Amino acid sequence: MRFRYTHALLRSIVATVGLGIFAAAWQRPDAVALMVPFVAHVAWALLNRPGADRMHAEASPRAVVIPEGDSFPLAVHTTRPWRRALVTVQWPLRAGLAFDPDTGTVLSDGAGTNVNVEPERWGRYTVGPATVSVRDLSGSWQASAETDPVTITVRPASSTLEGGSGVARPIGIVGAHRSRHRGDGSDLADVREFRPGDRLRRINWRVTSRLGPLHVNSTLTERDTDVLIVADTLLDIVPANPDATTSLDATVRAIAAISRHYVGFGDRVALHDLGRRIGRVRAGSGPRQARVVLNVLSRANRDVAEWQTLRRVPRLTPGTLVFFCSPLLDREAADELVRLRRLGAEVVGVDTLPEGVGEFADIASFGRDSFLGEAWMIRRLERDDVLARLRTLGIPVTPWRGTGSLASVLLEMEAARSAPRRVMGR
Amino acid sequence: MIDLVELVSGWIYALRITTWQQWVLRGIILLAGVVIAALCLPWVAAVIAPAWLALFALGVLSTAIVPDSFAPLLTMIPLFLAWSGGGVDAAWWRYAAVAAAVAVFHLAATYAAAAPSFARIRRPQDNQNDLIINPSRGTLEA
Repeated sequence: MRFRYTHALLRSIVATVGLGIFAAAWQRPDAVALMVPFVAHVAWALLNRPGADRMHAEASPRAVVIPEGDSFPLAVHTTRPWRRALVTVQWPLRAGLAFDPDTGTVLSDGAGTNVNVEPERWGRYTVGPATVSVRDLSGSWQASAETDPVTITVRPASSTLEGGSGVARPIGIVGAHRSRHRGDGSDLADVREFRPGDRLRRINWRVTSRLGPLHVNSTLTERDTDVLIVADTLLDIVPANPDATTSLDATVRAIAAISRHYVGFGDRVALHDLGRRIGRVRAGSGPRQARVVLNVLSRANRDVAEWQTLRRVPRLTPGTLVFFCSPLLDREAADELVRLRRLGAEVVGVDTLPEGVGEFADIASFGRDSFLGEAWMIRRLERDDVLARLRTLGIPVTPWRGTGSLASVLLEMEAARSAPRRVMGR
Repeated sequence: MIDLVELVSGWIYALRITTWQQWVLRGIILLAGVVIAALCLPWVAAVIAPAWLALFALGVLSTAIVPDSFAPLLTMIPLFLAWSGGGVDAAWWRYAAVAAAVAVFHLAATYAAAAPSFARIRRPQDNQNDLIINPSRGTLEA
């Protein structure tokens, strides 16, 4: 943008010319005294004249990825004819972002035009464009420009789950979970007589010296398993307090923690979205898979309209460990959960309904002329009935309240591996 | 009625977020206006003095509220009229005082208009992020 004169310079020029004409025409040399400040200002402006130079402004970085809870500085670089100038940078405020200063506007003499931004929660944000205005130190010449918008991607907090793996019957080949199958492993199953094909290093010399014939240690194999995380993003339940965690927030954080937990065991983790806010992630393992899941979660779209049609899980290997993250308000979601159980998966329900929604204390947050509080209470009672029926089907459902939420469920599932099972009579 | 409430709420919010530096500059504008009015009022005929004072006060107040506008220039008009009417017989110190007050008024309005009233002032840092155009060489320098 080219530089133009400001109101201040126009004022000085008009006052100088006007007073000059007055002094000459009416022969009033005393008017010259009043001209002095304006003449001085015009002279200063002429010394700082920018000529044909233009001003250009650029923001950096243009795109940034940060973890949830972090802040970072938005810097603006300007090209101008003067080393020192009055530079004003104004970033438009938007919901979900906290600026420092809180008005998002700074004035400096050319350096130090950083504005700190702290996103309040995960997601993708577009900030800007910023309006940049440059004036010379005399306040006589001004140019304005806009920067490009800046894209901020905030990854959800990825702390890992507390507790064990909960894998009772792994279905993979090689991994970190104990299985019931005999083979090469580290867990002792029993001691038996030597058979052709047994490894010599498995010979148990103590038992052999006592009993005579060669005996070997028989071990249980360790396998990995498939983990499928199903996300119910059909609805995003927002509590009365807009700063509180929504059901989508809880779902995203649960997915981040669960995926990171099982990737740590070397399992294959996949993600399926019943709605269309998050998307699908194919099965994969290793640290790269954890990063892929986090990237997909950070790009989740909060502003998508409520999606009515549920997208079912297309196929499922029996024995897959499924974590079903859902507020369980939709009947179709509960039906899908049961369908996955009937397909042979080990299903764990993760209840992501925000705490307090539908409880008696929440009624006060609604208006007096509204019965929404009471309606939510009734809806929650109906949902509690659904949860009770799911539990009778052997599907544990636990509310998501942080990384320790699933610890007891996972421990119970691991304990069930060695629990006695009823066998049908032959 | 709701529009009026929203308008007043907006004004109150704008006052709350104004920085102390801007308050100082606008206070200087008002103070300079008071000094100019006190020095120039004897030059104004008694019949039109109230009208002159009201017009001048309106100009000074508008300058303090919206410095980046034509308000400061229009405020000078009553001043010039008063000067042209009675300033010819005034003592030299009165000329100097009025000129000084006008200089302060003009500069304060200039710098108050340099940025929005809610812009936070940042001190310069060691790292220079900007590029300066060198007119003699036609190049950009850090």
